[in-house]
Amino acid sequence: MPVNKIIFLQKEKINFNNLKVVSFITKKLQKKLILLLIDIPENQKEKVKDQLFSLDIEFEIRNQIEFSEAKDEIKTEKPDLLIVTREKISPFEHIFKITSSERFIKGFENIDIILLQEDCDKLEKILINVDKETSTLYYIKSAYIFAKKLGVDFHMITSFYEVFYENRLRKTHPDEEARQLVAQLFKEHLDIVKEKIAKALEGEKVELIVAKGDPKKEVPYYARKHHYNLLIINEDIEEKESYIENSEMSVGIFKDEEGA
Amino acid sequence: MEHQTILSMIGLGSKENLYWISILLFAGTYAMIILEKFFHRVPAALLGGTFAIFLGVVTPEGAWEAIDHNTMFLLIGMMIIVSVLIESGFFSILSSMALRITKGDPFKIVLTFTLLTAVLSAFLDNVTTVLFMVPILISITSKLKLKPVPYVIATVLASNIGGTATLIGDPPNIIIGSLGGFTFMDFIVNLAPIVVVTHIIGTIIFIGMMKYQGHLEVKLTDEKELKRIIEEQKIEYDVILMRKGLIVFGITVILFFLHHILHLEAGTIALFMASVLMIWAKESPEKIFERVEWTTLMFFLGLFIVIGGLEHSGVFEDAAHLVAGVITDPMSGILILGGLSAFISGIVDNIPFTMAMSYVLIDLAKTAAFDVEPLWWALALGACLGGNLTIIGASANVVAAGLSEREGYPIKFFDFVKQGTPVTVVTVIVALGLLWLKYAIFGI
Repeated sequence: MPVNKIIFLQKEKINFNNLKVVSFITKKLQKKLILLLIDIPENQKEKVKDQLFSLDIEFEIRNQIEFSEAKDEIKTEKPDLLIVTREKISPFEHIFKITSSERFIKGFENIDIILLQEDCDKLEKILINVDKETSTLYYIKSAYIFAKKLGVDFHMITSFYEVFYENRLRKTHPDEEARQLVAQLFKEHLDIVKEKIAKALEGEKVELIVAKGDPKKEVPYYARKHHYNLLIINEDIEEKESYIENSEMSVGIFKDEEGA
Repeated sequence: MEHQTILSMIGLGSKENLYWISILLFAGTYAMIILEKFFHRVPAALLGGTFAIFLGVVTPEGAWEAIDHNTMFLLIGMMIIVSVLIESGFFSILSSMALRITKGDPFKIVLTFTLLTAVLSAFLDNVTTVLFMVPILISITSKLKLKPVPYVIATVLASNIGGTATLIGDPPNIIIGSLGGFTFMDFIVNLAPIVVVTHIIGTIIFIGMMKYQGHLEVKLTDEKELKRIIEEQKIEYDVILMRKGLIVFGITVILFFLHHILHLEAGTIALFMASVLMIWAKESPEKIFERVEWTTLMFFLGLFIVIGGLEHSGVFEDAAHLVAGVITDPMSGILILGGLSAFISGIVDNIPFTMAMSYVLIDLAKTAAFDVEPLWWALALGACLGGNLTIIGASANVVAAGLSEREGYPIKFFDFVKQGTPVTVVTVIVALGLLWLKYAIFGI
């Protein structure tokens, strides 16, 4: 993923744990970091500067903008990666509230975005979702390069919605025949996903985890259960919001096509 | 044209014969339901219902009319809404939260889970609540090295108590609401306050018994292990589906409160809102219908026809005269009918009993010299709370016992009786006493 600029947006306060992760990403990708700081106290800004200087990171602070202008600023800047702190709320609270970061990222296109979970201070394990229908070769490759460059543990995952097909096919076919058809569909699903990965990575090997269940529930669940720090999905995936809201962790939404 | 039936063809089609055959059919069906070891209650009820049509005790059109559509629509609608909520993982999240709150303390676990169960049961079918809570409770208590059975029983007791509070909480209430013409608000006003007090007293009793039996002692003292168990409760959920499900559920409950103003039956509201949810949630109907309890619906269908036969033959009219001879005033009626309902519901299925008694009360209202409304509430309290008397007293008990046994913790008949009977006796006395007191103070 040819990242030139990374934008890290912070409003009202700096999340220094997140800054640690952002610094790590910036350093590993060797790019320039633009900090969009909105209503941040001066002393915190100084602390940010000190931290980034000490890490020898090329950065720029922009703090003269209003929150309402932030979206336009980002769109003009066209960064390759936008990182926003994602408020930590329980799934129960989440039913009644859509976080401001989730609302903020709506409307962005052709920008890789990471919703970095509040207070997340490390990126050690990444899970990359590969959707049979919508994940493009470009997406698979860019997510792979991103994880590879960070040098962290990462896996790819795909989920086959077995029950869905079973229920449908059992209505029109005898049980045994339905089972065989589902098995065939599963094989097709895997073949397509493996072929996509092989083509995108041009022979590079990567571990593919195969889950069974409703992908928008199963994939975030797998990521939570196995303590991944970041789940990456593609921008054009169906029911993208569900993947995001069902993940109590950092989520990366990576674009499917190169450039705007 | 005279409707030809098998009975009329063999010369048994007289009104008197039909009268006795309808009683025999009802008794036979009831007997098969009681002997559930030999017959499943659903085919038993369906057999009774279709046999009534077959013999001509009730015409096919009469059978159709005998099915209370409001009850059926309400059950189907609520089952669909609950199915979506289960699919969304809402209940898993609630129980996970409950575990975090209790921090593994046995006393807090029993208090929180019984309260949560009672509240959920007030708005959901008891079987659904138990189906959901029992596996979680078994998993938690066994990990905490506690004996799961007393906790499971406490949860079941709370479920039957909580379900008494509202129109939609327990099948007997759905029947009473529909046949008695009571609104959602009527239940809230007349039963909910009594149920709150009853639940508190019931909780004190079963917690007291559990403490006395040593079931509330902390067995797992390793803090780290405890933290791990609490943190480990990772669950699958779908926040957006949950949001949609809860919005629809919330609107449904609001509409229940307003249904008499809107001149809509609760069943119509429930089915309408369930349809809205299915369209909005975009979940496959097949998946949603998988969780709808078709067996319960079929059971109701069969029973309505059997009971329709009794109604058609004029049996309830006579039964009402008989009851009027025993219950001469509503105040003694509260105690007699409530006590009788509790006892019968404790030993046999409370659904056919409630259905039959409801028709008796409808006919009693036509002839009695007093307002029978207090008797409806006594029937509701007796039928719902009586279910706690034995392990076979309510469907929720049977389901919980099955789940517990499957997990390797069978609930013996007398284990349940030891915990359930004292709670039932006290809660029924308190509930009927409060109902009696209410009418004694405020009048009828």
